[in-house]
Amino acid sequence: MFKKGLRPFLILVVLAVLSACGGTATTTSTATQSSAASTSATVAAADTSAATMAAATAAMTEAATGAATMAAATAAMTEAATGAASTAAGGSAAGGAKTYILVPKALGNPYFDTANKGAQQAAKELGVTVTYQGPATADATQQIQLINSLIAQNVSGLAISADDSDALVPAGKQAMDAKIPVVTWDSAIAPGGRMVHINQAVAADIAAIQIKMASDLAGGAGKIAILSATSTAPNQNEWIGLMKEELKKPDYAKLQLVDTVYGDDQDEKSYTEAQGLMKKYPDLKVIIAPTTVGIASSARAVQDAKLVGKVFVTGLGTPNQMRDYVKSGAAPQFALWNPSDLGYLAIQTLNAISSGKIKGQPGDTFTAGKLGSYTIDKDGVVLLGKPTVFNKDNIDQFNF
Amino acid sequence: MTKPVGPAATTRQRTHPAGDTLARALVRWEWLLVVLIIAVTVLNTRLSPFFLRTNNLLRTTSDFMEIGIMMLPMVFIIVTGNIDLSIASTLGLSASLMGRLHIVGVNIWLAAAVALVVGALAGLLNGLLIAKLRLPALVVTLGTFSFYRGLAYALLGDQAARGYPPAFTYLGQGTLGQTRVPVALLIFALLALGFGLVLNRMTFGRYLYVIGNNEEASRFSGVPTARIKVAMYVLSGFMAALAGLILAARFGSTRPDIGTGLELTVITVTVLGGISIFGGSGTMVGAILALVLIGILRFGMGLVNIQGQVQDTVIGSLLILSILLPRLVGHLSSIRSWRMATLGQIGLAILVVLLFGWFFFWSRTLIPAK
Repeated sequence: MFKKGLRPFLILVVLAVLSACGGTATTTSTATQSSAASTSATVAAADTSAATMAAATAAMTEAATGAATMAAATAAMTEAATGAASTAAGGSAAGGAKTYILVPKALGNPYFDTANKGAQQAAKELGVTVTYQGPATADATQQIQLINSLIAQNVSGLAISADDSDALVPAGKQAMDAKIPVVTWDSAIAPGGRMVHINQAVAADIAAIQIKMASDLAGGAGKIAILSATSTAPNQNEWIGLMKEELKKPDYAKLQLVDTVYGDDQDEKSYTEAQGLMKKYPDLKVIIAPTTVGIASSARAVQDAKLVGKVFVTGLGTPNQMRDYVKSGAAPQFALWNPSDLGYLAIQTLNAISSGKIKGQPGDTFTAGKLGSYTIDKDGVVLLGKPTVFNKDNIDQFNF
Repeated sequence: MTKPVGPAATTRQRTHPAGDTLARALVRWEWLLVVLIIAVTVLNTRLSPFFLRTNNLLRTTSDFMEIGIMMLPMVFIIVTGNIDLSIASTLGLSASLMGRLHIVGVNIWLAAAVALVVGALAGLLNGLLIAKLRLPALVVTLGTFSFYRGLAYALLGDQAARGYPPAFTYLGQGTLGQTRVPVALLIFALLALGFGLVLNRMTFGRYLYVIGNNEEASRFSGVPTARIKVAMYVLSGFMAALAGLILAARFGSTRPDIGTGLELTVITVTVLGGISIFGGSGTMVGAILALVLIGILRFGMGLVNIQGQVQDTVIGSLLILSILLPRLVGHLSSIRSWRMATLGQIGLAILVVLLFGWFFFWSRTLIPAK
């Protein structure tokens, strides 16, 4: 039984050896082919990058896939196959244009899709190709598998939003050992597994912008309150502490922080807490909610209580969830970093390293296109900049 | 009580290799897997110049070793017609326990040993509930699937255990001497050899097939059914813990969600390997070939930048085909007179195969390959 069962195996081994011998031959032949076809490959690259944008923005709508289906059906199978070979080879074998990969935590998240938009803009400006490739779900095992296949393709650089800051360290190291620069954005790989991390915002800036928005909305004077997530949330507590520091500045002397309540990042609870604030302090002017759940619930509570124009909501939110409240006036302005800029800066940084302009070490300074000049700090971190304020004038430019 | 006939059982009888005729040998599932592996290899080589490079192939094997290690006892379990859904949770529990012990300062090797014992105990609990209390394996292991993962979270919370010594991470990241062969590959190869020998050469292995073919009858003919089932689940828990150690070593850290969802991949590989889900048939060689097939298929799809979701769909379709094809073949070969209905069925089968091929190529254009 065992002998018989082993037979397929033996044949497989023989075939593997044979194909390995043949494989080296085919590799060289494909290499020559691809260099011959490199001009057509770059043309195709331009086409597909446009298609990439369309597909990413349309988020794989039926219409887009339908069109792709037709294209695939008309193109012969072999054609599709050779096309892929040339695009893959175009990555590095051709040696010309660089191919960077933007790796989100998972595909199908509007936040990351927006980052990809910025990355594609950077790609256009730099004359490089950026491919958006992520795991199906936000899972470290899958992300590592993906990174291994990207290392195997010998891509020119990786910009990763890590699913697990520690588990990704060995994979990041392997990439760098293979001379592939690694930067992280949004969510860092621990130092050692990446060269540079692009940090979206620092706590002090996040606190300052929220107090400034509150002061604007309150007209410089009046009662304000904070509606946070849980009382133990480390991010929120750090911001609240810094907001209290910020309020000590003379500019904000007439603002009075009357209360801090916790909605536990649950919609229902946040809504009730916001209602409570409005009842308890009838002359309350602003609710600051430094959490994406709380800000939407508070805005809804203000709207339902018909207090639009009397009580304003501000804080940290995303344009898609806040669009209606911005337009109704319940939450005229709120802040968050711009994920599109984050993707843009990640690719700009990667390109600066990959093209040898900088080494990616602390102290290095480089120019990142429209965003201006950046310096890598002592921890290997680049700070994106101040948070973006969203209001009725710019909110329709964002979709995340 | 009639036992449902497995798809594999309809075309051939695996337990009587002596009667293998040439025709029978040709329709063996293993051969189909070999053909598929060759086809995928050829296709991958054509699609990507990076596929047939020793370094790349060896590096990618490490992505599949934990799956392979858990697959070995899973073959035993499915051969008896049972299932174990709790393996990935056992993996998480063991790795998290080791992480917890590492955090409080216990020697890493001692912690690893404790983790292996706890993995075996987790398997023992499954085995006792299933074999002694005669509870259905699906329900029991579905319960422990949540239970063990919950324990993992209780142990580590939102913390991560990190800073394992290099001697330990060598298990998951190291290569043998100057070569590029991952240590985990060697561990898997040795274990696979051992499990294969047990399944094919030892009484224990024979008993597994007997239980899978007819548990009632095997019990009456003096097979220690309960003891064998307990042993097989203990083995499963132990191997899951071992896979957990290797995965933690590969990550260099542990979080309680480590390895989530791997059980489904393991079961997919096992069933694709021709192990009948109804029990009684299948070989270790088939399962290992299926692991190779899934491995090169995933790696190849990754190389041409096929997105994760589409990869899952392809593997899923392959799994359905794998249980559909033998049934269709068996059905067709049993038909004596060829009527319109038969032709229709053949047409349907061809259509299914064509659709699958078409889907594969169509899905490639879905992804923004650039």
